[in-house]
Amino acid sequence: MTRHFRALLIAIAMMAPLAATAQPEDGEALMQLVEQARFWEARDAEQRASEAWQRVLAADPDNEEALGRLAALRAAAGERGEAEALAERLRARNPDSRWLQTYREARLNAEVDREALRRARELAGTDRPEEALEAYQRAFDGETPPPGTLAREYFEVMGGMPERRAEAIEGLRDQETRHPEDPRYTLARARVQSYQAATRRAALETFESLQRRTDPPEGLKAAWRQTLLWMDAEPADMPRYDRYLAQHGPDAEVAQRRAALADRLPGSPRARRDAAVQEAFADLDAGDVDAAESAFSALHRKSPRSAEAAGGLGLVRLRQERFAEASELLDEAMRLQPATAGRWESAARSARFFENFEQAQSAEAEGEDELALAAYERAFSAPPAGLDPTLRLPYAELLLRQGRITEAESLARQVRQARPESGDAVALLVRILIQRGEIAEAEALAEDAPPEARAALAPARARALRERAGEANAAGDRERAKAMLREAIALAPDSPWPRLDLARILREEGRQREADRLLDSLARTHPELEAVQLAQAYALADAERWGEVLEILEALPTAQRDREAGALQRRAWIRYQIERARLAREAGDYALAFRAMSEADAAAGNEARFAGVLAGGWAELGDPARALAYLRRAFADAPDDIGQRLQYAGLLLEMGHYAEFEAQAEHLLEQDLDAAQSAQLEELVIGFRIAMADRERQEGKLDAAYSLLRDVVRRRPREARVQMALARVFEAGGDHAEALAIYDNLVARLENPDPELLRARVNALLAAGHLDPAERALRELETESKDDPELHELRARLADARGNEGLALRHYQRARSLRAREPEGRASLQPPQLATIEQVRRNEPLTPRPVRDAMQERSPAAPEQVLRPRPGAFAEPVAPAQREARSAGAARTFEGASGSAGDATARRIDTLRGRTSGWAAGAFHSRVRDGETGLSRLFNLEVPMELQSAATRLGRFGLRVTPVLVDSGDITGPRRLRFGTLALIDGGDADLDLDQSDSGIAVGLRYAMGSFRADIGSTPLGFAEERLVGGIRWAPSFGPWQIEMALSRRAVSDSVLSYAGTRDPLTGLSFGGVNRTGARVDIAYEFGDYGVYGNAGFRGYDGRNTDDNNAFEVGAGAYARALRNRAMELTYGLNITSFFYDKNRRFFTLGHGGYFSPQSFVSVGVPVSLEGRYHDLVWRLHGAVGLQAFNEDGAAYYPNNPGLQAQLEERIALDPESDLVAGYSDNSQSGLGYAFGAAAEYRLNRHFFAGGRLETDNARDFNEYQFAAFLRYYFNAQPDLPQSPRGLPAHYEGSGL
Amino acid sequence: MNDKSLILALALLLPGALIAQPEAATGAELLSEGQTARAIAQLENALGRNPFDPVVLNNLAVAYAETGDFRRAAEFLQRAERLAPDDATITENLLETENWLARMAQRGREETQQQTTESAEPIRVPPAPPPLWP
Repeated sequence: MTRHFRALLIAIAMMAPLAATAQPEDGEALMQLVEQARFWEARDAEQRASEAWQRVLAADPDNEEALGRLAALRAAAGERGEAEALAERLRARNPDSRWLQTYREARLNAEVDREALRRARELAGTDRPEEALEAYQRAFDGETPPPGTLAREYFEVMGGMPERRAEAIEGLRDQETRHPEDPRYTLARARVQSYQAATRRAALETFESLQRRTDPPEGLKAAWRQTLLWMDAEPADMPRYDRYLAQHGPDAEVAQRRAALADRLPGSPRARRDAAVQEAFADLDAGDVDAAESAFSALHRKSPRSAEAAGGLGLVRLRQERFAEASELLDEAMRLQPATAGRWESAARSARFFENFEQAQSAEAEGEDELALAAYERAFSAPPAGLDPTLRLPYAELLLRQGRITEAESLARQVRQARPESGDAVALLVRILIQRGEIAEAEALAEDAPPEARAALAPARARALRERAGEANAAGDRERAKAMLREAIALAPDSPWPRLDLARILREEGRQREADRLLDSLARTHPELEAVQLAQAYALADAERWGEVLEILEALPTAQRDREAGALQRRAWIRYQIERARLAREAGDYALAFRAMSEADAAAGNEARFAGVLAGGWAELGDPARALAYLRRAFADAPDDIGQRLQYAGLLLEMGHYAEFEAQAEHLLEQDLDAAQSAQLEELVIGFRIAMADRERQEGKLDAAYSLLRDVVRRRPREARVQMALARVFEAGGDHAEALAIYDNLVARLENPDPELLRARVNALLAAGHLDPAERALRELETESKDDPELHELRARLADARGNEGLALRHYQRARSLRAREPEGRASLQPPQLATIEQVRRNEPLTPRPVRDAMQERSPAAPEQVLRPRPGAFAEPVAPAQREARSAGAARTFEGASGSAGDATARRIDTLRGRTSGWAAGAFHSRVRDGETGLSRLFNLEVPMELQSAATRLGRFGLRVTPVLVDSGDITGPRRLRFGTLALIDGGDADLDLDQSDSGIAVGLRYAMGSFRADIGSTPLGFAEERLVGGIRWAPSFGPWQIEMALSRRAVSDSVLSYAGTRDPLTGLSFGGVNRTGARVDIAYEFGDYGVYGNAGFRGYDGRNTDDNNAFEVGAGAYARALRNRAMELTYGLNITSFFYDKNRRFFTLGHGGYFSPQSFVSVGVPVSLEGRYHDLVWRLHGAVGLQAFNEDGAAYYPNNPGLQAQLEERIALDPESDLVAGYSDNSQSGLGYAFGAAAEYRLNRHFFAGGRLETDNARDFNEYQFAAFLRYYFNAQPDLPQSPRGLPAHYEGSGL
Repeated sequence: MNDKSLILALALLLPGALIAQPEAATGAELLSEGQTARAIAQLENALGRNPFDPVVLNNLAVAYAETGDFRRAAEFLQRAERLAPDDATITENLLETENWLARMAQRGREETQQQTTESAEPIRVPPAPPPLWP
């Protein structure tokens, strides 16, 4: 029966109820009961053990073991009384029974502090043996545990402490001896023995012996198995594993251990593999890499989980410099067998280093410096032991290139310290020192260095010099920079880069040819050098020859297209496309222009450095908003980019965004700018100041304009644009002489004066009224360009000034046409944006006149006020229309600085079209002069009608037809004696009809050209006397001088006799119809608000059957404007008029002319005139009051007919009592003279004007009242109102020239 | 006139007054919304009812200008200006349109001249650049 089977039987027997159990009848049966009891007790099953022992006692009441063990179990269970009774039975049976000892131990154990014991067991369970032991000792109240169960427990805990393990084993042996029949003590001792390798095999033997017992203790199998797994077994231990497996059946882990042992048997596959590994390592050590590779590869394939195979192959790869693979294999080896990882660590470190190092070098070769730097950093963060220090040099080189000079120097010095003989280290150190400016140390180092280091010094010095030259140039020290670059070229004659830099400086100095030669010479000698080609490309890029840059770069081999070349190609490509877009736009190919621009845009991406050129390109294509947006977007990416901000400020200035420019400029002024940037900003600020001054000037704020320019003039006294801005201010202030002096000075000083300057000078000459010099200057300008719109405008101005409005209009129209053709860029591509009208406007009155016209009337002295945030602040630019309105009054101010030249031209054209328009007009004139009926009394009605052609360059023509009616009434009574020759017949028959009235139609042709006027026509056809009349007049202006010269022959319209002529009823002779033929000169000089004038003239008088007469006149006066504003103007003055006739021929007898002809007439008067405008009405009130005196000689009745005069005198002599007289007496009069009048003209619409006037006058020797009204239609719209009311002159007023 | 005929006359008059106005207004609104074709249709309807409405003529011109037909726009604006010579918007629109047409005509003449005149130096647009490097 196997032990297992027996144990099973015992177990079954033990399960049987106590009552049913058969009483043992012999010793064997008793023995079985005892074994049952021991079995349960060995398993710590106290209850079953107690029951078993009771059955033993039932069979054998004196059984000592049963009594002792049962007493111990009762004592352990705390049943002291029963325990003591059993113990008493035992003592009675055998006082020396060894089972009494068992009972005593149990009793002692039961007396131990249960709580302290629980705490000690808890600590033991948490693997804290020292603390657990102390807790046990507290429970025992001493260092020695009570024998028995607690002692076993105590020493087992102690066995967990290696340093007290021997003590524990000893204590357990002692307990084992005390309890030889209890296997639990033996198991405890063996278990502690299994904790250490030295006693592990002994423990195994104990386990095997315990297994052979009938009552193997609980936990035996687990302790046995664990010991087998722990054991560092040898093949000789294999039977131990076999025995366990035979006892306990299959166990995978134990079986694996057993198999591993089997592998270690000589001749096993494992042993063979180990031998192969050794052999492969031997090959590797012997330098036979191929053999080692073959062996390790085979091993690795066969045993992929073999650390030796992976590691060995890794070493092979390392030897083969296949670093990445080596690193991977060695890491794998360490991972497969962590215990042996240290074996591969050094090799793995080397592999990793060289893997990173190799990556760094590859990246560097491809221009990926950042990647290279990272790889170097990884490599040198864990370098292998014994690394060649010179390997750090490429890393140092790269650091140097990246500008990390200190780190590069530190590395180079480390290498030099480790390898003083390394020429590369010295060369690098030399370069670093040169770069740091420590030339002396570099040269000292190079002296002791190997030849290659000395050779490296020259280009290194050249490079360093080039860099320092760049710094010097940036700091504005151009001469020093050039000297350093020349030195660098001498040191490295084959390097194109110092040449490129020098060429750049020379180009900035305008020495283009020298600059070109510098690179060309190298290109001729070294055309194959890529660096030379690249440098040439850079030079061409400097010259903005982008197409050629692209050509040169295309010729570069692909391998040479490094990052730098790529960046240049991209820059050139973008700039080339922008240039192409510009040319395409000029050629009218807008689609191509937009496409090229868009491609450039896409290629530039969001890169801020291109924002400026893109902005310029879009601005040229008529998209300034996009241009500004580009620059603004660039700021978002690089808000601190000063260059970008300067460029943005420039664009703002160019586009007239002055307020934003000012903010940008102020921001920039607070920044830390270098010399070049400061200079650039100052240029912009000067431009801004000039623009602001121009604006203030246009608003009439000349003091503000001058203040803005003062600082600028002080800083840049010789700069043309500054001087020109100043001159414009002087011009606006009317100081044309000063402005001209500035322009003349500039023209004389500058070698090639700018056309703008020349135009400005012409403008000033025109403004000053120097028309001939202006014409000469214009002719000089015309040699440069004939079809410049501004030139045409100046020509128009000249023609206008000379009164040739037709020619002026033609030039203005030509200027407008040229402007329309100009590629205006910003506007030319944009179709007009027309405005809709909201329907609601139908209920509103329409603007009476176009807004532009309304604005035009505003005086420049009272511009529309712009709300300003602070005095002197710069508001947003005004709208073009407003600007136009502001400058309208200052039409003679040069608009060179204004952006609205085209608008101004359009306005001038509007004005001139109005002024040169043809028209048709009709008027009604009525005049009444008091006097003697039939003689000096006059009633005159005239209805002039006129058709005027438009002014052309050949002048303006007109045709006038004037129906005229004159009536003086009948001559009756004694007045007949003073008419014709009726005195000879005492007045004639009373029935004689002497009605003095006449009518006719005057016709005339008129011509005007500038300041020249001429007319020819007839007196009213139908009058008694018809004759030819006409005249010419020339009224040029010379600055403030105004001269008028006239020659004319006119009808004298003082009376019916003088105007129409009449017939003498007695003789039947016609007489009268007097003509005034003469010349007159007027000269005036205007000082601004006041002026003086004078005139002189001579006239001859002739008429049918009237005595000829002569007269001369002299007059002078002065005037001043007391009030002058937008709405009205008040002028007053003093006037002296005098004229002197040879003969007094004012009477109506035959030979007299019927016109006022005193021998002296002097009048001193104070004329006052008030004129103004109200909406579309222009009005004038005028009056004059003064003193006048005249003196008339007496005259014969028939002055040019002595025969008739003799007859008359004879009749008087025959009849002295009659009323007849032979002549007229002389006459002297003096008194108050006055004249008053009112006139108005109203614009009905842009084509129709109506007006009238009313006047009264007591001048000379009569009172006269006049009334006139007119209506005029212009064929072209009239944008302007006249300065004062006009009319259509009557025939009696002369030609109206 | 009795009450009935008065009411009839008013009824005949009212539609013109009440309907034309909103349609013209809608035309302007449609234009502001970018619905040019609908605006043209409605404005032409409005013009059919009252061919002497300068506002409708102006807005129709604006609509045609939106389609790029500046010649037709100019015709409508000229009619509008004749009817309302003092309206600043109409005058400005007409001026802008005529300037644009003049500029375009001038360009056309220049292009023709460039093509026919051998001596004229045409602006040469440079060829396309080589491809951008990757």
